[in-house]
Amino acid sequence: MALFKRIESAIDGSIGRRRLGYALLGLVILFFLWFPNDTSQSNYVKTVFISGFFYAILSSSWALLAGIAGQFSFGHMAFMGIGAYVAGLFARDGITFAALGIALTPESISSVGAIVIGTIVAGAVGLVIGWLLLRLRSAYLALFTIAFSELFRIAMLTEYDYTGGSNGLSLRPLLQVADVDTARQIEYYLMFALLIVCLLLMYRVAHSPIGMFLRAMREDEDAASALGVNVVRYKILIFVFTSMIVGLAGAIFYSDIGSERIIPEQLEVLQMSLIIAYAVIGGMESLLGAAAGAFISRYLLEAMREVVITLPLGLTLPDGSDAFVWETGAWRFALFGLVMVFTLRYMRNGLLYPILDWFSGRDLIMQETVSIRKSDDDVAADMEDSG
Amino acid sequence: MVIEDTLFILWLMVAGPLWAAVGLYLLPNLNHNRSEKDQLPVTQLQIAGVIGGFALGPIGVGLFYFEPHLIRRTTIAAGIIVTVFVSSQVLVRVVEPNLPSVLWLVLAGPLWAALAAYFIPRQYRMVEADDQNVLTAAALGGFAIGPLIFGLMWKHTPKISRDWMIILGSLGAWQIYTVFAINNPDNLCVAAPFHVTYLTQQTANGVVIGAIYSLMAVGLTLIYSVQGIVSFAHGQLYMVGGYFSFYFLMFGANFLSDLTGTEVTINPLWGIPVAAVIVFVMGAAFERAFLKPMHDGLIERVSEYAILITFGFGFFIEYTTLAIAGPFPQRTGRFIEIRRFTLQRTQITDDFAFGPINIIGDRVFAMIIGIVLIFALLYFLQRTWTGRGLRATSQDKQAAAVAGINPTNMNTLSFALGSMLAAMSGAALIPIFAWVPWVGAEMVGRSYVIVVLGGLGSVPGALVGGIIVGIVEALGAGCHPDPSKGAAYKEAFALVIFALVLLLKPTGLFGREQH
Amino acid sequence: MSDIQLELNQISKRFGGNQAVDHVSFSVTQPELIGMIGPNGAGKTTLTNLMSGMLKPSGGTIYLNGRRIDGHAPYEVTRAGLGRTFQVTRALNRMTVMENMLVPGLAHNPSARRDNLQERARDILSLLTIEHLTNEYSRALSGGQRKLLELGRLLMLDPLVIILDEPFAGVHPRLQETIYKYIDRVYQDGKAIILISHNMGAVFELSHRLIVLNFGALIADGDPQTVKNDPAVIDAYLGHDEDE
Repeated sequence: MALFKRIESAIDGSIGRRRLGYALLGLVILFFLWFPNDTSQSNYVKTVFISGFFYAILSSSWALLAGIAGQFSFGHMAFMGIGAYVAGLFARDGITFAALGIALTPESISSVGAIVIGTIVAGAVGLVIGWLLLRLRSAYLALFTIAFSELFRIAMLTEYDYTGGSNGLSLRPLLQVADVDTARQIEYYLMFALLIVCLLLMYRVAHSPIGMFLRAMREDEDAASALGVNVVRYKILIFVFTSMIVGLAGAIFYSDIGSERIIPEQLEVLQMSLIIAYAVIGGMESLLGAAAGAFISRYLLEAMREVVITLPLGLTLPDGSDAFVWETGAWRFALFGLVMVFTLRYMRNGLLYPILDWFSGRDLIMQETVSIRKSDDDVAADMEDSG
Repeated sequence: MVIEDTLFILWLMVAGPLWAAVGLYLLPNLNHNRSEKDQLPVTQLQIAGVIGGFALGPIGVGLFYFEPHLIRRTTIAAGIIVTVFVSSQVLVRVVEPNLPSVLWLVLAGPLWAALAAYFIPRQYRMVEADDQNVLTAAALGGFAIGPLIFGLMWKHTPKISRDWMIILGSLGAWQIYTVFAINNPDNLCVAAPFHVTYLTQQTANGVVIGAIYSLMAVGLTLIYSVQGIVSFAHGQLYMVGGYFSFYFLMFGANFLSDLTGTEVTINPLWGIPVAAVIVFVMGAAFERAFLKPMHDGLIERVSEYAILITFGFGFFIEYTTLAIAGPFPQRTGRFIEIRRFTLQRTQITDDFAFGPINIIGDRVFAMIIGIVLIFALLYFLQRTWTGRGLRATSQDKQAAAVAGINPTNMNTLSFALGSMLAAMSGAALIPIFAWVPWVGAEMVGRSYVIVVLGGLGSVPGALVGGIIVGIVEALGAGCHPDPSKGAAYKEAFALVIFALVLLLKPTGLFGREQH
Repeated sequence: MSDIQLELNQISKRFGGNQAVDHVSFSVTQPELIGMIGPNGAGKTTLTNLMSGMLKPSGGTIYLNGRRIDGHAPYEVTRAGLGRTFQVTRALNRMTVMENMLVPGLAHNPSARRDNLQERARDILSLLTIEHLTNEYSRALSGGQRKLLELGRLLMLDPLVIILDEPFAGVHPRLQETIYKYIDRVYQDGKAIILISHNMGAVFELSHRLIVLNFGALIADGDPQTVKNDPAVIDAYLGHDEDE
């Protein structure tokens, strides 16, 4: 502890935490930009990174919705699915409004157009759901969004004539690159760019007056509206905004970026619980914390598939091998759940947010955690002392 | 355990009349505890006792005994069901399938419902009328009778009683069924009277499975009524209850086989108390470690913490189970086997032939377990000191604390008991369903539907809600024009009800009104 | 006397069969300091909620500065110029004192420059003697300090009419003095204040006019001395004698 304090004051005295933080952030971004050029890395690792970026978008937008605006929605994955499914169906089947005389054939729609439409539909559904949710609070809101999400999943699973059922739906590829290595490289940069753009957009919202209104709403809706905050508008706004972000991310990711088809299994409550767990571990009230939490958790969960412990001193196991190999299977998720529960109980701000906060130099969390409510008598005594 | 399948005869000749007699004797006793003006006509009670006892046995008698106001509603409901069915049958024969009726149902109905739900409550406020339940009635009315609802409610702004809701609701139900019947005249659920048995079969399946659903939902509602939180680990506790029973039976049977040197199997009934005890302890430990700090004021944003922490707990249980038990479906042996006598031979089967209706014996058995446990819980809550303490805490924490009840212990007890009920329903169902670690996710969705429908915090509400959800699922799945899709949409039917109840009447059927 | 700022006409509110507010009418001019009293359950808080838009009246109209505000959303009422505090203090706990002050400022004018708002907030906080807490989280504030913060937030809105619901409840006497001073200061600035309190001493000392509610109805409206001797008011507080 003393050592930490000395390092802290040394940093404060020289370059300052904030500048150090920016420098480190810059290094991290540089690393991510350089990474695909490392030829020693397999395409598999790149794929893990790509899906890491995708989940970082999902978790950080959930953090904005739940952590900052206080709307505990479990329907986040459903909006992602709406974006992906709508884009896919639209690019495959086109759309006809017989009454209006408009007919869009699949040939006339580019994959970018399909993604845009998927995003808009996700936002429109977010508008309706957000409006319906106005009457509901906390547990009821969570239950309603679970019901919505499950209904959507069941519909996608059952209407297999259109959606492909449990086989999933493949979206029209966004990129037409024959060479796998090059394709991976482009996909990697595309997803990384999307993550950066989404984070910047959300950061902008969270640090504008709207962000402050959202936090005020989270703390106390009645008080916020008595202070002139249009609660209804901002609640719906944040729902539409986050729905569009995840809809966009879903539509792009499943356009052959992650080499995956969108399947109804992705929309299960369990997948949603992963998103929540990433955000909780990273720090529910910090966009960057949640994004980093998602990326790191995802990477670790991949890396922990097989734990190899090499025995020291030339010892060997009975079967003659010198390393102990553990197929972790579901245990890594069990451990992950345990980490989540203890984080919630003892590190309310997550494991990464406090670190980010330290670099910001504001010590908000530290201050918030140690702040203890004083009694009126103490305050009055202080006032007497000071005259 | 082998049971002789003479049950249908036995019921008609012995058990039915016996329960009818019990009902005849018990129900009029209700008047003893009531004030003069609350007394119900004795004849009505006697008839309810006889019919309830004969038709539903202990369920009928027990339900009417604990909740006498259900007598009238059940009578109305039965009348409505018969009317709906008969009138639709007549209409099917007269009216050809047509598109306008479908359009009315899917477009005009919801549109008028939305219009009525938007404007009529405003009108009530404008003329300063009592606007309780007006939103629900307006929406139901708009759906059922379209613009006519404005004529009924706009000018006179009548006070909305339960009768209004029942009449409008059943009109809506009548329309759904009739339009469905007219446009699908060949559907199995419609082409009666030939297939009345099919409908009855589906309904009976629904009632049986619904009563089992209830047990789990009751646990959820108990936790909510005392602690004010919804447990998101409930499904996983249900799942793990099944596995505890499974492993106990497996290891127990192996142990006994080794001991005696012969092949021994244990009836899955014994797994239920084992699962109950283990999960009770688990629930209590979790409550002490993670939920108690919440009530001690150590946690901010309590309601959200409660959602996440129980959710995380469920996540942990689910994956730990997956790691230990693997993803392969497991199942224990049966509760009972049924020996059926036919003219030709005697055979061992797994279902009762209840007249023309077949019901799987284990399901009936599980239903009986569920109902016995629910009534045991009701008895515990209403007649024992600890149970009364729980109820007192649920109504007013401070007053309960003043009366010498320790709210901390009551919180722990409620969570442990609620979790235990989930585990017991799991242990009661593992002989029936293939058990995988994610079996809880589907089931818990259902119990949320049940508790919200019945009213969060109401035990009889959970029982009735469970049976309604069971019936809706069975009929929805059984009557869907495409049977394979019907089965896949099974959960969806309940979820639609759920969304509607949350939006129109969040207090549910039996919930406490909050003002 | 200047213009009428707030005008209530025959305002009433029913909850089910219960008439919580029964055709109440009065008007408020600016500047004015009005005390509103009445026994428990007389409808004071319901009336406050009706005026601030938290509840929709079952009947009657409310005009604020010539604009009709009844049935409008709370934020619209606030922006129209009516600010209120809550009986149970509602600080935005996990936001700093400064952020608590900025929320109403930005809600009032989202494009306002933050430095200007912050400067104004600091002035108000120093008036309220809690300037040293500017960067503290408001969850760390004591009960009295929270009341002060809540009052300070109102000033950021620059309202025409302020309703203070129980500003002295559970506050240390020393801090009560600060709140007294504050109320007087705001009154000097020319705002209309409606003060709801059980603390009779404070109400009689501060207010220039008293409104008395009982069973949802307005039973007296006038200067404190007259109201004090009004038999209906005495009756309301002492209870009705059955034998009469």
